[in-house]
Amino acid sequence: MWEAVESTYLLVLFVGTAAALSSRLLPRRAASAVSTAISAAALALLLTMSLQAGGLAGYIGFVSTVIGLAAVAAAIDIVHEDKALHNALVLALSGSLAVLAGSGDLIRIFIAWELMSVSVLILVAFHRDREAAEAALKYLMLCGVGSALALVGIALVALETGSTAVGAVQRASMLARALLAVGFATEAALFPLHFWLPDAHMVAPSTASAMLSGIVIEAAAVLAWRVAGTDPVTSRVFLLLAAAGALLGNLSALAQDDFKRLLAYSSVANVSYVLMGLCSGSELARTYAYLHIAAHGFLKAALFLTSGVLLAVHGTRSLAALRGSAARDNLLKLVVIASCLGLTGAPPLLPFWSELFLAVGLFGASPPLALAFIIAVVISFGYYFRVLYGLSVGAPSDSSQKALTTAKLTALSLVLLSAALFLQPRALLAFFSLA
Amino acid sequence: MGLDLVPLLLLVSSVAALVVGRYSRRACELLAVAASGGAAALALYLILGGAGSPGVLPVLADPLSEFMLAVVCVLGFLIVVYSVGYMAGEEGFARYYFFILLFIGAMAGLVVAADILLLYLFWELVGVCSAMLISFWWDKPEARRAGLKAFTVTRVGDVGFLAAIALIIYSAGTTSIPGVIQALGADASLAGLVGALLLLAAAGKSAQFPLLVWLPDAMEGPTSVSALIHAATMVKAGVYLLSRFYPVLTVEVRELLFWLALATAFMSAVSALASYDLKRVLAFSTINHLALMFLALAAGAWAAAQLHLLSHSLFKALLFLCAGLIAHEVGTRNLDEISGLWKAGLRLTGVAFLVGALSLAGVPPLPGFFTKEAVLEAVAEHLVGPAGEAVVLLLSFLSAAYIFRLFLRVFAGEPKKECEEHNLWMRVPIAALAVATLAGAPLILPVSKFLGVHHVEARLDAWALLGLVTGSALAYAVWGRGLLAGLRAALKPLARLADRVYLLDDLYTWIARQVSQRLSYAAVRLQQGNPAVNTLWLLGLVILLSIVILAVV
Repeated sequence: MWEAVESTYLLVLFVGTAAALSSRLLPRRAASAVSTAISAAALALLLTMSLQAGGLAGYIGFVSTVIGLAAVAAAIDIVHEDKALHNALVLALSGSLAVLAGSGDLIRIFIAWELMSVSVLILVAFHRDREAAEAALKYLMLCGVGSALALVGIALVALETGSTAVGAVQRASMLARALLAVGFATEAALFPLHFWLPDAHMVAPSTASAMLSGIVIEAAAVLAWRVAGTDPVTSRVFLLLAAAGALLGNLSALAQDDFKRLLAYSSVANVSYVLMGLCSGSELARTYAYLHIAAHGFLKAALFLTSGVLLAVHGTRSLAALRGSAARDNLLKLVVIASCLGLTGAPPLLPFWSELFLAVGLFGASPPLALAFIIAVVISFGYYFRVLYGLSVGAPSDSSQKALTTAKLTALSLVLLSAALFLQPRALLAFFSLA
Repeated sequence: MGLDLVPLLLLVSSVAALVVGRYSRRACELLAVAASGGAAALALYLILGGAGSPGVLPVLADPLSEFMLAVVCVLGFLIVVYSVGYMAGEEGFARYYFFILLFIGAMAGLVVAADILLLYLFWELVGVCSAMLISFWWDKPEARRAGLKAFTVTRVGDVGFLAAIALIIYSAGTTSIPGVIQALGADASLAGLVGALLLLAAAGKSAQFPLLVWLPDAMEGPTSVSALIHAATMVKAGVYLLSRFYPVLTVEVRELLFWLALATAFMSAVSALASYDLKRVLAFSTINHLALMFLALAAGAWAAAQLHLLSHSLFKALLFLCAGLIAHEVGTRNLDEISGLWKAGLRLTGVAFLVGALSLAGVPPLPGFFTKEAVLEAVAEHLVGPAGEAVVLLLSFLSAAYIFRLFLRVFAGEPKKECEEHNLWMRVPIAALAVATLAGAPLILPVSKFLGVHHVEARLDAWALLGLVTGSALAYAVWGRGLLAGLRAALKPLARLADRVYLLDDLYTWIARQVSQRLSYAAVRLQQGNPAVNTLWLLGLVILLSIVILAVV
């Protein structure tokens, strides 16, 4: 049970983050090694606790710590600046998400929320250049206002019901619920509140983008649904907005040349799929919306890590300039082909099941929305195939010899994990008692 | 040991091929041949020896599944052997054998799956393999485009499949195929809807009107792939799906199927007559014969559809393998640049091609004659009267004309250069398939007995015979003797139109491009860089939500 482990979980999170941060006092080389070890150990501990806890919180914890571990591992190769800070932030970020999904207390949730927001903000601004500053400002403006709205919502709930329990939200006024839902939905990049996302996910270090796209916005979506799901009107509005976001995200991704920006837009679409499933009111769609979090998260993280490797080797994110850059590298090519095909919903990777049953569930709830979902999925083929062909076909423009084996193997393990889970999706859902 | 052993064996060996391929080409080829040969032997053994206890996957061990499994595995084996010769010298051989083994495994899984979700899984998996193999030579932009097109168009058809699954889950409450058929049998209106949706899925996979545009382009792939996936097996998945759910197809659905298939049959036959690309002619002819199978299903001749599927798989795989050897030797697929290959030395190929062509045209006593006759008879009965006779006459006229045109254009006349057919890996499967096609007629009786149906008796239909004779005569006059040159020249613009699938393809591409470009431009424009504007959106949403809430409360 989540309640049983929550305090220990938070303790590990704070102590781990503090320890990883303080390793910055060491000389640069040692700081990198020590912070990597501390973060990995803390994440592994959090992973174990998540597996023990089960339930939705445990599940979110599982996905976020796995992606967090991947980010820390890949950072060995592709993050060169302040590795200790990066690792501490990744740890703080992945640790805070399970609390959002599991905690029963709005104050705790808000603290975790702020921890997450601050980590995201610093990670977005990590490179300390003009582009990063602009993206961070956009994030700060929009999500800051979102957090403020959510805080007002919490205050209203507390004033009206005299309680800060999540259960009290149901008894609160509609205004309070709407404020909470909209505030949290900003971070979840619900259309039309997603405008901060493409910039932020594009400029953050690729390891952080893997976290942001892979699990952070999905966890925020789960939280938004936890408060919006209590209200049929808000739920309905969210459902329609999510359908619009699914179409718009994929359409925008079609036009991108920047690899990471393309992936970011595609994440807008995917978090919208999750929200559609959650808000549809169909039991089946909701269950498989949960599954889609892992299904999309692992593969999208693998693609972001790939983009990080390519950025480190070729120094560019432009797909036109990266033409053929994975062609000579069998490992990277396998990751690119498998993740792109997998994200189109093709077997044998996990999104096959989540997209299949999301469509089936949505058909049960509302056939037009199911059609919108499928059309959005079909639109996405265009850019996934462009990435797949673009990176694997042709000759690389320069053949610099950087191995970056750890990062590549990390991306590959995420793909293999997705393939392994493909065999037993129901077992995964049953393990966390979600089905 | 159950039938599921066959797909599992192939799926495992596909991964092994990917790993082995990193080290040795020979080992990879050997593994592929051994795995597909083993799968074929195992399939035949299990079918003839009776399948044992069920294994890991839920499988159907009824005659239809076993029959399809045998077709898939045996043809798969022959074509893998052919690939060893055909793909010699290609760089991405590991990728090739991985996908081809994965494909055969997935196709084997598709035809034995007893659960509709499992069926859908393999249905998608064969689609992925097909797309990746079409774009195997992905340095060519056309190949990349063709792969994406095949993937997208078939997935559009799969909307029907998904909706059908949803309906089945919500109303039948089971996903096991026998259970589904039983549940749908009790509810005619539901069965009609599910049938229509499955029809859409089948039309996508089997390239029927209006989703037929992807198959001609799929010819950009290696010819071994065209032979296996786009002639002999995957495109039959739609036929299999409707045969499997035949008991629940209502009269209305069958009527819809009949007219769609009839339209497809005529469109594709004319296109086959008009196309200037060796493989495109064969692709159009495949669409034509798939339409014949659907016509048989629609007209109530279930057995005729299965038997024609068998004979078509044999002769079309044979024709494609010959086409692959020709393209390999001559270096082009353009019919204007190919001529006189008989004199150029392609004797075995010429004979084999002729055998395939005769079977395709329905010349007795080749298997194509018996099975096509059965289909046409059912069509004539369904349409009653002169309309039926006219359709039979026209269909056999067109198919005889297009296939003999192709044969004459390729093999008659004077050679441009010497060719030779030296590659043993390619000659053996061609010879084997030619023998199978030649001697296939006696196979039909045991197969129809195996499928548990009365053998459809072979009657010589006068109209079909007339069509065959006039079609062959026309082909000989025009392309053998060079008569009617003026008419040919006059018809050229029309032929170009037919070759481009009556601009249907251009229309779809235009719509897709316009819609995606305009909408994606609009979507990108919506993205504002100004944080203040973004915040206004947020406040706008809050206000909107408040208004909605106030109005509701």
